Amino acid sequence: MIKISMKKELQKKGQVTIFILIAIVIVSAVLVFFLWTKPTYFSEEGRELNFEGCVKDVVNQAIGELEKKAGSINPQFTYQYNGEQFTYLCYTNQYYETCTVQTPFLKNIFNEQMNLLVKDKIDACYSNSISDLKSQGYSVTEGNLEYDTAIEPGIVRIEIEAPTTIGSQSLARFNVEINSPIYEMVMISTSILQSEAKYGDSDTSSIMRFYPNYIINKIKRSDGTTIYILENQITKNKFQFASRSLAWPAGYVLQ
Amino acid sequence: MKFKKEITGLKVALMIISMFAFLFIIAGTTPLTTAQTAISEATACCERTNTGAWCMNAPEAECDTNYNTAPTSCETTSYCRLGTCYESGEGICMENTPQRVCNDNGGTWDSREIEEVPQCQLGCCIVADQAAFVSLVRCKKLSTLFGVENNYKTDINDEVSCIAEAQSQDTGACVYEKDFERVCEFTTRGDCGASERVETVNQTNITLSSQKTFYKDFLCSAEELSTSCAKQSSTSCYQGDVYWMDSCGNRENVYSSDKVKSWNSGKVADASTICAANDGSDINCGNCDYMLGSRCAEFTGMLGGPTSGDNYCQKTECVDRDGNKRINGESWCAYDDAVGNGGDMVGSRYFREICADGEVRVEPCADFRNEVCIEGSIETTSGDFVTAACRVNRWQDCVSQDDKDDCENIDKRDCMWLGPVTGMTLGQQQQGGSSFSNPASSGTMFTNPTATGGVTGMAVSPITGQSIIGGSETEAPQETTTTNRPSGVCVPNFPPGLSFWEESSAQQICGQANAKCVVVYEEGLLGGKKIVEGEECLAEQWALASNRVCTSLGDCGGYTNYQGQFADDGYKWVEDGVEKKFSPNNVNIIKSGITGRVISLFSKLLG
Repeated sequence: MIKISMKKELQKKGQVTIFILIAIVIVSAVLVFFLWTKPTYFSEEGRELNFEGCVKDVVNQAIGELEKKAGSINPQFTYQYNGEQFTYLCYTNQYYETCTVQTPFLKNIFNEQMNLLVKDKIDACYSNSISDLKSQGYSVTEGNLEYDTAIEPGIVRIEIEAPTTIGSQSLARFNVEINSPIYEMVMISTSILQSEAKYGDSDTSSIMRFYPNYIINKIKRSDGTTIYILENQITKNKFQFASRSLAWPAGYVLQ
Repeated sequence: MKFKKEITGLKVALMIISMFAFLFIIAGTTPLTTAQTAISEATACCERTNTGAWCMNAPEAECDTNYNTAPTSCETTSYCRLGTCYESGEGICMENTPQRVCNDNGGTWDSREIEEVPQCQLGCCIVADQAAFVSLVRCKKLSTLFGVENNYKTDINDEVSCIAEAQSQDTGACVYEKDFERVCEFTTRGDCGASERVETVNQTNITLSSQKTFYKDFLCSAEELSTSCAKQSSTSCYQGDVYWMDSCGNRENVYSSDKVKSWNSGKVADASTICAANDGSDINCGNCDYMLGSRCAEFTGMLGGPTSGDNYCQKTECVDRDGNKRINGESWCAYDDAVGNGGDMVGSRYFREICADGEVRVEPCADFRNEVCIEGSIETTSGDFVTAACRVNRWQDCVSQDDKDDCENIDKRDCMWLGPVTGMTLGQQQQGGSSFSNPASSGTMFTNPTATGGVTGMAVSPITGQSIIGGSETEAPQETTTTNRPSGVCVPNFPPGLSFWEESSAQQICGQANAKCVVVYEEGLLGGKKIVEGEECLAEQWALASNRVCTSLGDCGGYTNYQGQFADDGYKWVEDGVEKKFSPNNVNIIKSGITGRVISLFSKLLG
């Protein structure tokens, strides 16, 4: 009986040893995973760490903000209508004259202003991601962040140079692409602007025919200002601006 | 002598019947000269104004002191000269751009007109089967953005020819070998980059080559080409129509549920040979027609969709304010009230309405009726397709026309000819000092309806004139009825709106017309008297005819606003020193908006 009980006890000890060994293997595997695999995971799926997601949110927000102000963060020269400020892109204070262009290249100004607008926020996205990693116990070395935005048909591209080292893993560049119709909207607005500067008016019907996904609201005000609101019917993005060109007085201008 | 005078005084009882007097101030001037006036008010060229506008002629106090200011017109300054601004990145040219603004925005400024700047010369840019009438640099940019070769033609000088050129391009299957696979792209010959040689298909003699071969009018799914592309695997929208797409993503022919007919044995087929132009009523035909109100759209419903694919010709309709059905893309004119014929009501405006995706969008034409709406139509199989536009109202020189043909020359102006009105003078500064009061100098003669809470746009015109009759015989001038428009009066067909509630040109414009009629009586030997001249002026219709001229000049005279309210303080009608008003019946005639017809009838009778 004693022999039998001893044998059982030895079997129990063996089982415990096996369990301990298995536990060690599991813990080792988890450690290896987190210490080695996770940084690779970061580089491939940065979104999981919310860096790319953060950048996308920031850029989308910037586009939404800028398109309402015709591409300027702080437009100085505006027209107020329905509680909103519409940036004058072409203006004359005279009657019977076509307008003087105030912003000739919308795409350039939009790009430039977007870079300014997202700068601090993208820096914050990066810092937050680094902080998150550090708080998770990673050894992280951060570098200087540099980036550039490019507006292209259908997309806005952000190229971010972020020399970062996480453990033994080095990362250098992120490319973030955001689907946005802003290029088309800016180019259609440029076309309207060209027409306003040349003829003092624009034909929105033909534009809407060639670009069936866009609706253009054109509102002529009594002082000669024309408000344009260009809306993408799919994404609901709105690009809006004002122009005063070839304005007519009520009757004649007093001499 | 004295007795003779008295007899004469009895025979000639001079009576000023009325005064529809609106003094003319703008004699000898044309309205367009006023633009220069506006400029002359500007005392300096501000490189930037306090409000942030670049390069404005404005009072010096409005200039931003951090920028240049010169006491001259901007056109003569170096920093604000207008010219053409060119940007090489996107290939965009912008005219009317100040030099400073151009340079600050990374452009290259040129003092020449846009047509003279070499970089801004337009040509026909053909990218695949699309066309754009743009500059060469823009064409290259488009080519880069879309990743296809361009074909830039400088010998095509207009946009329509450019589009036609793109449409006339050969299309077909562009076949080549890639990774040991026979690849096909449905494109144009130019985009394919194949040789100009016309390829014939011989199924027994197909060789694999990395060199591209263009098979005109063949679909990539044509069996003869032996490509890996399977026919009709999905549908897609292209240029407003629904197209079949092969398994490689190449466009095929216009969609039809009759697959055999649509595939056309693997050859390109004209849309009309597959199915008739679709107004949106046939879910199984992809030949959408914009002029019939249909265009390609994704079917999002659960039931009743197309037999294959997710796209169909969607019919989009709107209902206008009169309850008429309008198809997508149609535009038409809308009005506040009766228009033209000199009868536009005070405060009214022209509008253009557009049916866009099932919604009527309203585009107001320029305020104060500086623009009017015109419309035309194109005949289609399902009725007329109406298009409308706002265009400038050319009313400015109507009053200075005294010839009917010149007046009604619609190539030059928007005027109409009214019959003559006894005693009417137009476009003459009234002389004689005390005989006529100039309402422009008497601000109290004008009321601002908005300030008094009244209806905006109420007609209030300058009131002039005084009774001339009376006084002693020795003082009585030998008045006669005179007119400078004996054959008729030229007035705007679409009377302009005026800002009569504030200091403006309303007083001047309304003051252009004045009517004065002298009635001559002859005393009978046995007493009594009879009218020998000017009897028509005693009738109210004469006053109506005069009022008609006034209301046609602009927001003048006694008239109705666009909300139907009549105001009779816009005229002064004096008969024998007594001020008169229109009778209720005639007020109703004016209010009903048929003044023009009634008065023109009376004018003919009286004239």
